[in-house]
Amino acid sequence: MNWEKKVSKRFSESSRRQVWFSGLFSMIGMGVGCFAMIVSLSVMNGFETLVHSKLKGFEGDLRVSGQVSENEISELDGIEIVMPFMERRGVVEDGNDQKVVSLKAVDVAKMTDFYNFPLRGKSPEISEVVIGQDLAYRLGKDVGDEIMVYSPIDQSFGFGLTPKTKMTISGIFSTRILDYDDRFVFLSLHDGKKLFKRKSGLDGIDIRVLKNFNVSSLKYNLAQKLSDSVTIQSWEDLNRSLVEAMKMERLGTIVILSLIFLVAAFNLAAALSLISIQKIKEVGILKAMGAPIESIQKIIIRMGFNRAGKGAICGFILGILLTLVQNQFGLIPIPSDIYFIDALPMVLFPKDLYTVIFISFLFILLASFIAGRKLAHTQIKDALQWGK
Amino acid sequence: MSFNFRLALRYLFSPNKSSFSSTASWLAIGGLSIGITALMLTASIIHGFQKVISEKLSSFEGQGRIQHILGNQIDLTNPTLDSLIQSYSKSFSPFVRGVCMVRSGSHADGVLIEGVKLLPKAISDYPNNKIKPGEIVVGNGLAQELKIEQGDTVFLQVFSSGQSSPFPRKIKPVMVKEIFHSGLQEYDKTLAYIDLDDARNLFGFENNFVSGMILSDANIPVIRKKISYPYFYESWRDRHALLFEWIDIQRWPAYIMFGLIALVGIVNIIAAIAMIITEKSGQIGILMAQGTHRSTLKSIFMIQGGFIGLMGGIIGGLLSMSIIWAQLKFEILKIPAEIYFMDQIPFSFDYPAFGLILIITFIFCMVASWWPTKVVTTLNPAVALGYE
Repeated sequence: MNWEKKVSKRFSESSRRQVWFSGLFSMIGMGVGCFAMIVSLSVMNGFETLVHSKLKGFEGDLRVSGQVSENEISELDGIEIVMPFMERRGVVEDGNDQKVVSLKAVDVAKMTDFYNFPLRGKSPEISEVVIGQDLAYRLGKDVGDEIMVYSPIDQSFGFGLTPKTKMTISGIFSTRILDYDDRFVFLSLHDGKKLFKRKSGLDGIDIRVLKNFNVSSLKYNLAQKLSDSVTIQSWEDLNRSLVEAMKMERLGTIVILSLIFLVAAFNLAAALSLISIQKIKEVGILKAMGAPIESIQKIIIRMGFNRAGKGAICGFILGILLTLVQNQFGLIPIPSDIYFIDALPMVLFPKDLYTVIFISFLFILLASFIAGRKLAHTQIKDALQWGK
Repeated sequence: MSFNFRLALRYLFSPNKSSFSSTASWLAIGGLSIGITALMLTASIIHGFQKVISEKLSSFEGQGRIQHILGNQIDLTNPTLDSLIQSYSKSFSPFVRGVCMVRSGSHADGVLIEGVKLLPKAISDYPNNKIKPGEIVVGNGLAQELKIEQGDTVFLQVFSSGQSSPFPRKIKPVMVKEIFHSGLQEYDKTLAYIDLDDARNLFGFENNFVSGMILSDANIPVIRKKISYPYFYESWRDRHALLFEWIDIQRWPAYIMFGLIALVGIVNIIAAIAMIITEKSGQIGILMAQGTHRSTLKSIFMIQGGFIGLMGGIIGGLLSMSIIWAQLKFEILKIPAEIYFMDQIPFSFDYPAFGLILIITFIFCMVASWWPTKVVTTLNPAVALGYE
């Protein structure tokens, strides 16, 4: 045991009750900070994973756009399922009510395998469509009703009627992602080719990658194999602004919750300077005996960690415990019809734990350093005369 | 100035530079002001979000709209409506609404067209807000998608409704007069304005017919009673009720999170007062021995707590006000518009909430400083002086 450690322990033990008391408050402050940060980060991660999985359930992991054939792609390793599609702005009409939607023609045989969203009814066959629940609500339609579908962009400017196709609603899906439930209408590739006269072929292929298979390596392999005219985009590329927004929210949370640490650090600094003042004579004696400034600093920093560090660890453990309890027993419920699961999943990544540890460590160090600096630099003469 | 006030202030602004009690008090003030700033900014953002949304929605949609319950055309010569419109002719303006395709070169998109006499105030300071025949005003989201600029000509193509199908589909060239930027994605991407008569012509409305009436004055109380089947009145608040409900739910987690910062700040006050009492216990002992009443001694520390609360409130208040002012003036913090409805963090001055926050924190401060003063009542002068 080195002597600084010994002295800091002695200082702590010999402090009076109220001093111990104020140390307790800096412990609580740090604990609350750690706890709040861990819980909110894990809740955020949980929501993020939910949104990721829902979006991936709708769009797959990778999208190849351009003129490609299905066979070219499905030979590669790591592919679970592919979904060729054509997409175009079109109109659905019911009487006088018209809605502009995204018509998405897909391979209907694979639809239930590819898309992970609750579907009431069944996948569309020829002359059938699947619409989102918001659109169904707005049009006042249900499974089995008929609507008119057409694609004005594929009409020439001349005279004549817009060819409309009467389609039956075979199913209603609900994704609860952004405005998807209002915007997308699924139909079969067969109908798609008939409707989109000006399109020469597929718009692209969505790919779902096997679990545990590296998406970026598949992306690389695809880029090697396919010609330069096609673009390959991952889930993140397609939803850039959402990914950015989530990153920003995470940063915002970390910054704001760091304020709790900052306030707790103020408290710690106050508690440590009280101890400093009470022990100033002892410090004067130590300095007179030849103790270097760094040693005095070390003693105070050690005391800081001894108090606030304990609180931080408690908050840390409590936060992780709550995460585990939530995942085990599901204390915080979320609406299950929107998310398919009853309780909010809380997810903690090692990266977040490191961040929390780093931030709390930084603030404790800073507070103890500042509190100790003044003490360490007090003149021996002043220190010994203090209180006289 | 009374005795206890003088003593409290002396403890705070001690002439002795390294006085602990003033350091601890200033640290407590700092912590509290950070907490108050965080809370006030939260309140400001929540209020600002509501305000921005309300202003935009009401400016785009008017205070409310009278429409046919089935979305049919309305005859303006209809006696019930006519009498209402005659009596408040200044507050009503007719509109014609329809969906159509906008084409520019090979780009096309579906838009919601509103035919109006006057443009909403939010769009322009354009002379009289008038829109001339043959002109169109579109949102910037739509302009980007179609790659059009001011002065370009675009084609409006109506999807013929069933009845008029023997006639050629109408295609109308219009000049882009102005591009508006509301910050609300829904409007910027899907809304366009044209002249009322152009719209009648385009959508096949007779001269006296409209889709509905826009009400620009909220102070017509009879409106809901006077409008009856088959017409209905819907205010913009009714129309977007879900959105406001969502904002209401969102505010509580935010208040709790930021309240934690203030809570740690208030805990700091307890610690600071407790420490000051400990430090000054010798002086308290002397005062007691001289016959100072215990309640006077208690009030000294209560005044200190109150002073910390007051200063924290003032500093926190000024800090948050200046942050809000800076954001409003220079628009520093931007957010992705696609996800959040608006493109920058919507701060606003929510004075009632600010006042409430200040009052509540001040009350908490008084309670927090009262608690450690209980020690004073149990302090024995002999013991207190014994430490010296």
